[in-house]
Amino acid sequence: MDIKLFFSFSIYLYCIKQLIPFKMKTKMKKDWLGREKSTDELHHDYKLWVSEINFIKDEIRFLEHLLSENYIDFLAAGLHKKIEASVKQISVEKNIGTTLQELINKQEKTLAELIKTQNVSSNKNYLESHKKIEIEVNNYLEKYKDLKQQIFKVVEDVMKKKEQKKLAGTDKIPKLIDK
Amino acid sequence: MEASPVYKSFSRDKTIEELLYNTSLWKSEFDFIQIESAFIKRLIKAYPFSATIPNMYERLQLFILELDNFEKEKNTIAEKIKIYDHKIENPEIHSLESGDFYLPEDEKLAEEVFMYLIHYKNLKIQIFEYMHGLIK
Repeated sequence: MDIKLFFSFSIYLYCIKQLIPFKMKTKMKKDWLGREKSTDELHHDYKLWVSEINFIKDEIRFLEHLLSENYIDFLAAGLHKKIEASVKQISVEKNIGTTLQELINKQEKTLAELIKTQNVSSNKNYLESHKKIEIEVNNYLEKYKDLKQQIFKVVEDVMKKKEQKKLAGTDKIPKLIDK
Repeated sequence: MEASPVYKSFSRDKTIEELLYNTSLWKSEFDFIQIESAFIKRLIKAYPFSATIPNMYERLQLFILELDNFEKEKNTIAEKIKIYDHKIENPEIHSLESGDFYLPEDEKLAEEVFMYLIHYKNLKIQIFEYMHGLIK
């Protein structure tokens, strides 16, 4: 082999080796963010989302009940506005949950159709809307967590006020005994 | 109550970014559970239940005990996540693997976190259903 050609080839190989890590790094990010899921994985996503939304519905039922009780005599505790806002927000979250559930059911039916016609991976619109629903569900879950934290705070404030009232009442006991 | 979903692995390679992103989600989930379970315990202890249901006090105490056990388990898993996180952040592992990679350890931990969350949610629903009947 011509010595010049040999050196050129070695330099070429060296350059390729240097480029590999950069290529891989790009691939790593791209694969994760833009990755296409298998039909099994798509179907599994729906199951998890529906289960999560159903669970939230059960939890909301309890939180609504808790906030509507006599125990939370929020007018006296001065928390009326806060509780009213939380109750309104709960109702909003409940509606969003129902809408999302309908959307997921519709999307799942579409998946079943696409499986029948073997068009899942070629249907870009479907895959795009799957990703959009995924983002919507994640946003919903995050928002719901924020709402729960607000509710925890309000209920704890009520509990504290109740305890303070109770303690104030116990202060009078020795005086009553003295009488 | 509906049947709980089961853990399903799709055994595909994951990038380091994805692994780290997943562990950050697990940690954030655990941080929230810390706040939530403390709230539920305070609610059980402080709520002035007027109902006279047989064994009510015992039942509520058992719920608190179960929440405590869940907290211990959460701390154990959180420690595993911390060690695992440190491992995947270690540059030596980056050089060992060529590009995307799959760690059986990741699958194991993902399943453990998934099952923990399912059991925790089921306990929460049990507590809420029980308390719902007590709050009149």
